[in-house]
Amino acid sequence: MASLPSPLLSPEQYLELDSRSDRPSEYYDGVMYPIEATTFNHSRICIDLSSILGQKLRNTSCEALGPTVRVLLPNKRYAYPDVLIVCGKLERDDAKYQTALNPIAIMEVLSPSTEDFDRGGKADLYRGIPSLKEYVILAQDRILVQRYTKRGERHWNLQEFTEADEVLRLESVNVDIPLHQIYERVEFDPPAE
Amino acid sequence: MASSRSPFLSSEQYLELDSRAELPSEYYDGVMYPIEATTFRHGDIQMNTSRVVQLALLDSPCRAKGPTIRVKLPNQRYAYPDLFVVCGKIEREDKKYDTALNPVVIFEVLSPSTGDFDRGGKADSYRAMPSVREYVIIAQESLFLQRYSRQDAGKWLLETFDSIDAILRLESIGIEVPLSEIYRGVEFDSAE
Repeated sequence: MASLPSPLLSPEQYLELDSRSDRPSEYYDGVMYPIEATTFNHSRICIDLSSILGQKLRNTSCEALGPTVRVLLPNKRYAYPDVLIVCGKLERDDAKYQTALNPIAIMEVLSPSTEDFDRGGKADLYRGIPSLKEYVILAQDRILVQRYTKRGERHWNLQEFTEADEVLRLESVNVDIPLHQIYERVEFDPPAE
Repeated sequence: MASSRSPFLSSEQYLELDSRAELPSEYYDGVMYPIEATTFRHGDIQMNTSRVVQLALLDSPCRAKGPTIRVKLPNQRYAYPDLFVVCGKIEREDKKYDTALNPVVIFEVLSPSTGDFDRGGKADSYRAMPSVREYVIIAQESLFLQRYSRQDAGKWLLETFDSIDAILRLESIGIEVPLSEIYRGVEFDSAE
């Protein structure tokens, strides 16, 4: 999220503006937040994760989308997840604007400026999407993957992966991804201290 | 966390300053963040929760502590949880400063300014403490409570409560806390 809010907008005004804009914006409580430029590492993780998922989901009923596909969140909020997976028919908000309604899994690569929101308020909103079964958070400054898996209406399991030789299992789509593949091209800074 | 930043400090400098200060500060990565004044609602929820937890623990070896007791987090960070529970002897970092090392359950009442951090980076730090079995996050804008409870092998269960009839069961300390007690006397804006 950027720190420069635009004036308060209705969801309809947002959708109209966002659909005509060069750069996607998310929308929370009347305010548009343009998607920020990312770091090299953020991009490496997104691209490699997307391409692994694209490969693994070939010839299944599921597909990977993002990072410029808008998703409807509870209470008429809108986000652009880094990666989302939809199984079966992709449901859209209405005929006019392309907004996905039924992600089964969402993945966000954390940025320093948005990481607390991605794990706080945004995570709650994602978990509030009725179709969602898994929410995966990936750090870019170290090997760290947190996977939330839905276990019931109000229950989610959280599992953390921190080793390159661990395997991230996406139960919702039955896909295994070794962490070293996700982080293969990432260049970590040497520790500051 | 407040947004006004002090100069970069070592953890020793922080402990020295914090122990002499009138207002407690948390400490993350070289920066002190004074505890913020809270809303009436935050205060009510904190008092309510402390009261029921204290009462429920009267005959147990566990005690409720906070909100002015410092806790040591991994990576040389320090926080002041709104409320936490220690079972048995409270372990301290050293003899000079009072810093608790072994909370079993930690509670945070969310504020608009710190809510995402409480659920993001701070939640990670709390979950990384070996003694912590449960972490409870309580919203003040609406009736909404989340409990992380440690499962086996680095796994956690996140459970959400949003009904006034719900009962928060804290398995690690064997008590039950009705949400009606936590939110007793708390009124929400009708718009929310």
